[in-house]
Amino acid sequence: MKQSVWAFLTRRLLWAIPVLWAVATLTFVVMRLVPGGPFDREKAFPPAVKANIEARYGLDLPWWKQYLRYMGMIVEGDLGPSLKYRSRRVNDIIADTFPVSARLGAWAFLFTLLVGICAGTWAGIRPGGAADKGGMFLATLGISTPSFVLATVLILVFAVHLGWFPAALWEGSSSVVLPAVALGFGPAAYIARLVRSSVIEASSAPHVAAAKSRGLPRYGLVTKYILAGALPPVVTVLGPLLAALVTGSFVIEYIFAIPGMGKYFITAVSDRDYPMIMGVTLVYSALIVFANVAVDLAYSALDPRVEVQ
Amino acid sequence: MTARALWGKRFIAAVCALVLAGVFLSACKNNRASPDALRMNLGTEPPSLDWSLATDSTSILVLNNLMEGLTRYDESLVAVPALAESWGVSDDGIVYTFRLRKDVIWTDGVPLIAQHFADGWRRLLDPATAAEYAYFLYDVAGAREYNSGKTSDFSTVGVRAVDDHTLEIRLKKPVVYFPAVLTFVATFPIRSDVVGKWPDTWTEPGRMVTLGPYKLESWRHEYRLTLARNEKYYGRVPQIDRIEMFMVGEQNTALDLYETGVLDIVSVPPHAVPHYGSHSDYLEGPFFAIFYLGFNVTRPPFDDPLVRRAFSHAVDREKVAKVLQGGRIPWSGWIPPGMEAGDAEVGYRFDPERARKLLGQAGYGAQKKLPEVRLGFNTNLPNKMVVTNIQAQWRSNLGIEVRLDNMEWKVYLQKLRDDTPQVFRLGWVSDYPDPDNFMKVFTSTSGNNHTKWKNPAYDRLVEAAAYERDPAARRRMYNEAQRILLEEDCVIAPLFASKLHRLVSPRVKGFKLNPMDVLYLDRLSFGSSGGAGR
Repeated sequence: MKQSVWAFLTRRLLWAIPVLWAVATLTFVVMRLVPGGPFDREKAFPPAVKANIEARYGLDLPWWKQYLRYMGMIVEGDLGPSLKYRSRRVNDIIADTFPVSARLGAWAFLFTLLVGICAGTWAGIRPGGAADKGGMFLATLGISTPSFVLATVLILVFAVHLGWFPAALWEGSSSVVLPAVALGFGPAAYIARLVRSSVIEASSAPHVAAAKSRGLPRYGLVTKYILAGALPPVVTVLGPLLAALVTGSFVIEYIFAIPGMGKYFITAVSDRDYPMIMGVTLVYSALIVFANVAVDLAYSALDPRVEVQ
Repeated sequence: MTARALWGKRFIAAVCALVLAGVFLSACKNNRASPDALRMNLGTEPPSLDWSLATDSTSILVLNNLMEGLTRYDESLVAVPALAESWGVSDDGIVYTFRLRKDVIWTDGVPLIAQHFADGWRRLLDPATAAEYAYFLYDVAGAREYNSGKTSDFSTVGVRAVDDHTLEIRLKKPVVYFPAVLTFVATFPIRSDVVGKWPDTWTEPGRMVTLGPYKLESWRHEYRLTLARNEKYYGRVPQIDRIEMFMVGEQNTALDLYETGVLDIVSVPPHAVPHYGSHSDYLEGPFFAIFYLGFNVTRPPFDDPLVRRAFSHAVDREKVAKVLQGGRIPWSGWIPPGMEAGDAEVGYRFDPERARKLLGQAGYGAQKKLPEVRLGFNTNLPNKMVVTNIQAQWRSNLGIEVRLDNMEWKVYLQKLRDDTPQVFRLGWVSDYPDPDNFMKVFTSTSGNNHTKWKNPAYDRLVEAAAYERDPAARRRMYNEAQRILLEEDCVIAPLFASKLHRLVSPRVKGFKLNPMDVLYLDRLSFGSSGGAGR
């Protein structure tokens, strides 16, 4: 790898530190501003019990002390104890659930790429044709259908009626299929629309016209000339998309009873589980940062005019 | 098309076909759980299996099958001997002496001794443990003081291992429901040597040491917990070898899993009751939980009991229950139906005529309009259905426009504490099957009394009833106290009592619902035919 690539990587990763610090600080402030605390319960407990709990988790300290204490822990790589799951630490919860979300997200991402790029290219090479109209109708449907509706339909058809796949749970490879499709369908539709317009634009480029006039077969024309020009803009959105998919989806994991990390983006907030909120936010932010670095690298690999600096 | 391009195309098509075939074939492998295991839905990950810290119904359900206490409920919810063989009570009702069984051994082979109880209670009450349910032992002499750090001398707390098999407990006051408190997980014995070895993670499989009918075999967090029969259990060995408890949060998914034969026991959410109500596997029964509207007696116009009575009379509870599509029992009393002293006659009936009259007596009518009335509730669909129905009923029966304020749950809890709305919705689920648990909620010193109402006569009655050993006299006291709470002062307007709804596979035998929703799995077995408890 060229020297400049290493320098680029080092610089970008160093930049990640202040970015993550800013995210952590903002998260800390915002979550303390929200009314209600982790130990507010329907059944109130005596003040002595409340005092014991607050002392145990340092919630009785002034904000700035809590902040410093918490930042110190993060620097050491300790995300602290969960306030909801009182016998567990946030590090352990993320270590258990992130790989599950990542696996599901990776399959959904693969589905997105395969379906999105194929459908988009197919529609884009003959704009206005039947494939284009049909494909884009499906894409619009895919974008506007919420994933929980799609998930419910998939369960009803493929699990309850046909019995091909399990209705839910995380038991072996068969249980990945329905949630991955439900999770990847919306993004696939989005990518398909993006690829279609990129393909149409790239098809009108002078070098493609020249290649066409030389009598190049359509297959070679599409793979060598059109897609090479059409894919870089698509790659830009793939980074954040990948980060979003591998950190899990609350809705899909909830519906399919998958033990992933996605649910914590919602439940940690409703439980006011401060360390857990911080944990998932930091993981998500770190992934966004890394995914964007990866996108920039991929960009330069796909388009020789782009050079990382 | 050139031959090369054609081959390239074919190659890609072949790869795609292979990938799809692979996915499909792997999909057809159905990894179902073993048929000898009972499979049920917990709904959520148990927040903690450390019984000093557990406070939620999910953890408690699991723990009730891994552990036992001095007492255990029988089928009619009476506390009967469990780890205690028998017990005696001093004449003044203050000192309990429990004689422990001698044949109880923990899963690691260590025999149970009375000191394990003293250790458990010490840990529960230790301020450093920060146990939420430490207050369950506040009836024990010195417990509150030790827990609040007023003393660090545990010998001042009224629990003592007299010898290996005798435990003596000294109460502060002679509360008659104390044996029922001892069924509760927080009071279970603990092995301080095990906890000391892995302070935060001793409840993981391989570390956790228990003594109940089942033991923890595996725990895949957020997904599945497996219990296996405890061969060392002192009592009758459970008939079902293994229990698989899944954590399916989405209730419709759980129903799908029941329909596809994956789960044996699932809850039916109230909205699905009309659909499953006639299903042959459907069971329902009462649940000790009451849903009510509370009045903040410090905020006009609810500082006037006449207004509160008018509002309570203006609610047709049958209609409220109907809006929720069944599954609830319209109820105007505070002690739930089926519980001792539960009385259908107490509290106000629907009487719009009288409601309008009362409002007139309070000075409100055409001349003087009521100040703006706001009803606070936490956002969820059933709550919304109830309060919009109440809003409509008050509009048509009293001619009053009520504003609804919905809030997220924790925001709502803070609001109740710091700035209680004029009218608010809340519920109460029983901790132990005794009226004391409900009646104590509205005493002057209760942290759960958001109405700001204080009535010494009520407090005295509730306290005296807690010590009353004669059931008839006790019932009379509770009845009088309920009349003060619901009629005379009319501080709350109970709306309905809840019910339990389950689907239980016909292969499961011995399943019976009880209003505490306590499930002892060692009472179940598999039968080739027949139904659940039928």
